[in-house]
Amino acid sequence: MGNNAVELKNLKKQFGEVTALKNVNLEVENGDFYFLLGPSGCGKTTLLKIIGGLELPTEGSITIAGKDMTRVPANKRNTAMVFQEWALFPHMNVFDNIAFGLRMKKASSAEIKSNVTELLELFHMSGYEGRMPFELSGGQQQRIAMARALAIEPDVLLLDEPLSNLDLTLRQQMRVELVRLHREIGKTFVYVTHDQIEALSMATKIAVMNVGEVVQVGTPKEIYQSPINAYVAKFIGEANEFHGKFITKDADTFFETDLGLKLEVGEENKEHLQADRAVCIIRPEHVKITIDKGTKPANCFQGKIENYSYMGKQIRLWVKMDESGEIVFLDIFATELDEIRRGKPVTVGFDSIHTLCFEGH
Amino acid sequence: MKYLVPAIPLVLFVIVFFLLPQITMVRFSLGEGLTFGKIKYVFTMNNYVKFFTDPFYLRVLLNSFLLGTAVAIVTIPFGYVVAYALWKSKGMKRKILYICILFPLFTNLVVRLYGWRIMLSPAGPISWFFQAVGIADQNVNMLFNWPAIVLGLFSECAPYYVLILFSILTLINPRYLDVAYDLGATTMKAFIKVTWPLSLPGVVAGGILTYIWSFGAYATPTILGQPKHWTLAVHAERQILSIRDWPYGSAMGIIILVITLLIMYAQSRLFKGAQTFQ
Repeated sequence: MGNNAVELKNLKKQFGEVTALKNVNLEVENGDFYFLLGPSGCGKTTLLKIIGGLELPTEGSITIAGKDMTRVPANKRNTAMVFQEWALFPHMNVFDNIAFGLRMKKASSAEIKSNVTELLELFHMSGYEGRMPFELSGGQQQRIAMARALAIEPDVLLLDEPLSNLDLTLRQQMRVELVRLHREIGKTFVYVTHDQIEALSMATKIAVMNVGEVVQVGTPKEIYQSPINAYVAKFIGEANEFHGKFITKDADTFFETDLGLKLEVGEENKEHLQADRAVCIIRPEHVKITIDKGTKPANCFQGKIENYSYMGKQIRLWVKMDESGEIVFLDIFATELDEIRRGKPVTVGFDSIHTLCFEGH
Repeated sequence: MKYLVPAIPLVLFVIVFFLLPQITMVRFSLGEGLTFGKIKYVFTMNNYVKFFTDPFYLRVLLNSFLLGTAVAIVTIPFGYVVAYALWKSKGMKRKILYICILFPLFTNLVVRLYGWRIMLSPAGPISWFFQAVGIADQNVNMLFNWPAIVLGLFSECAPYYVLILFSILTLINPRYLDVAYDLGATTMKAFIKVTWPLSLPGVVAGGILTYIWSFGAYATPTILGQPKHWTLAVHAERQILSIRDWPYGSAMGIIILVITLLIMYAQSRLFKGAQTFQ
């Protein structure tokens, strides 16, 4: 109990007729780098704002650092938020921006000076005290926004897609930097994103959300390898998706797609046998081009290259299977096939343990 | 070059309807006024010297400045409250507020001023109200004094001031306020530290407009005031049309124009860097 930085119980949020959050229960442990992951409109930002006190919940309770904060307004909560657009005060220089929260707490000027200096060092921004926000690059503004939030030494740092306004290279750099920062200062971070790569690569724990509900909570590995349903499986990574049902014949159970493709399914993936409809998900990295050598995977199909796309390190292939006409996609290295052209016959295969099966619709 | 072609009508318009009349005025103002409104075209600064050495007109000039200041002092805080309310309001409430602010602009200025004459007259509704609630025991005349003129000018300038300020307020990212609250600011602190400094360009721009408008006011002092309240603009007109000293009146007109331009120049210098805030 006392180990939790944030606890949300039966949280509901209603905006007029619209239900933003249905019934959210979450526990964020101290020191977690906790991700709220979901598509836009799933309520993740609303949830973050509720933790920060910028929105109040319709029902339910919020406990932060062991204290009930349900009805405490944002300015009395020891949480700090970093917004997507950073929102540095445009009329204040870097020093005054970072000092803002400390001044609101009426810290002494000596304390403010030493804290700001320390934070600037932490973010490798020493010497920028006098700069105005418009004189900073995107990455620098992002760092100052983080420093401003950390200045009040919050119990929890809330981050709302802080990297989405940066270009790809800078974003990747900042991901690494944020993980380093989290490790160095050991604070609890709650981070909202729709980017599953960001979540998988940075989180200690992920809560996957969908239309106002938390669907699954787990470590990145748990979420990726054992998604709880087809939604999570598809959201967390790329996936080939086959709709169909399980069929048992001669003491053998297999998955048959609507178009008649029969798939061998691993024992642990057969829990949805009873469902009328099932969906089978196979990640592209588990699909291989099989050239007649070594052991063949359980599921092997003849097909033709329907389309391909050059992606630099790898080439993505879409293979249309002769048997059912369904298309499966996979990534191969250029060296795996001597020639890539549309219509070329190939064999694709994947093991039965890589077929993730869920209840379908 | 071809980008300039669309600008030709506008440039011609400005030349014909603004620049040429102004040049004519400058030319008049450098001439010598003769009887029956005739002008002797010489090059003399006499009209300007006469103006700046005449204590009466210096007093008028000072009064015009004071009037502009008084109207700005009244308009800035009251208009701020209205613009702020408009900014914070949503939906139907905002629409209604908007209409209330814009509505006066649909009515002719002179008509509105005569409306004030009825409102402020001894037999008017305000006088009646004061008697009804017992503040006054006889008819009160609130016309033909400085407060009446300031009130009239306030009612003219306030809509423009509110709209200018409102447009600046809408440029303030509401996230700034979220951040301020999130970092522990009270509503008051957030206003003082964030909203107010960021809205300052609007306060200044709207305030300057109010000031210039009142400084150059013509109709309001004539309708709501007595000759002792006349501004420089009224005197310029009287010089030209009543006294028929075109050069002297023109010189006064040019003085008003130059002062107005100086104020606007000062404003643009003052807030040179300010626009980058938004």
